[in-house]
Amino acid sequence: MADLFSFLSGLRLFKDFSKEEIHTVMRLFNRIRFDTGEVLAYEGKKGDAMFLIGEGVIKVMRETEKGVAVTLARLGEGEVIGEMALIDNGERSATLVAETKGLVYKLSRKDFNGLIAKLDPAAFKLLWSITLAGCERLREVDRQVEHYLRHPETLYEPEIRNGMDRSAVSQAVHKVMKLFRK
Amino acid sequence: MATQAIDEERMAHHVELLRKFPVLARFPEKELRVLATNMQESRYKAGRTIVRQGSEGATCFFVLFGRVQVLKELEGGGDILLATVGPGSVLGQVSLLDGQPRSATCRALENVIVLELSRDRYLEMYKKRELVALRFQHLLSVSVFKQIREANDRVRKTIRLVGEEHEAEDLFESMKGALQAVEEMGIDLDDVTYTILEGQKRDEMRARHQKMREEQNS
Repeated sequence: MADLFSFLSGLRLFKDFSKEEIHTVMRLFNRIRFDTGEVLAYEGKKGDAMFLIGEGVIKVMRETEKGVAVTLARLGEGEVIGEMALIDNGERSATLVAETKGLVYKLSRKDFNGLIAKLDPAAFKLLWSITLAGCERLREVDRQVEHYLRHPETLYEPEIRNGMDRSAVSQAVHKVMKLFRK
Repeated sequence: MATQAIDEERMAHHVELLRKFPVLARFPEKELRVLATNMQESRYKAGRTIVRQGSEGATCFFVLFGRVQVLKELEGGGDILLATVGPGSVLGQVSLLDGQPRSATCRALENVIVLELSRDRYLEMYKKRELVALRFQHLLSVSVFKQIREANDRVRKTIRLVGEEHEAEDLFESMKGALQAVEEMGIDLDDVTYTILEGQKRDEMRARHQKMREEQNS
């Protein structure tokens, strides 16, 4: 268990946690070993847990409408997956497939909510750091949207290079811009 | 003594107003009182800027009266109206949480009255482990993740629309799915767009367009 303690202490998610608080959350994590090729979560299914990767590599994959699986990212030791599932009841946005064997530490929403219901100091801190991670991501998405708002024509770069008609571009841009207004 | 009575009366009034906020609907009276004690009432005349995009300041605003425009200011001038909100709305949540500059401008469309919750006060409540802070934080968290999903959805729709315009359907079908999940993971979209448009697929797409144009011209 000592290794889990130092592992958690080293993660940004638990940056401001006291030793005692780390011990509290430690007890809630389930250690799960996985083999190469094993699926840890399915896209579109409701998520009910957050994973911390302890060892190994996990591929984040998404199936396109044509049925082709695309690898979006490879995540390794110390990375956090699916923290949204602790907060909302939403669907998984990607499928997680083990690229190597390894292990994850799993925290279920049920246990997280239990911690909150007890008003444990660790619950306050964990809720805070998860929300902050969300804020960071929201600002990032916001910057992407802003980029499109400022330079909507960048959406059409390949076409412009290929000689797409200017008026066709501005017409298309106009149509796209309407989507950014609520 | 007299001021105390007035304060008490004002706070009771604020609690009544807070109760009408959909997000606070389930908060017990006691917790709303704690929240109200930490808030301050402010008024903004029609046309005034409540927060300016890019500015510091991490106060959260509970709109009591009047409508507020949420605008995105673009470099080199021009605004884009993101939303018009009214009583019952809460603005400035993300800055309250992370203390970073404002991502949009809020302007009073009419005379507006708000209850303000400063970041300092909020952090203090949170450190004291006030129940109301825990409950509110959970709501903020849900709201932040909901906004991420919504923003992703708009970007996704855009990409779909661009895909139609491009008439290179299959390529964009594959891009669409990829981008959608990429955004949800917070990876820089531009990197991915380039990866996808790089190399064979991009050449393929160019060739397709070339062919299409030739067919149109002949």
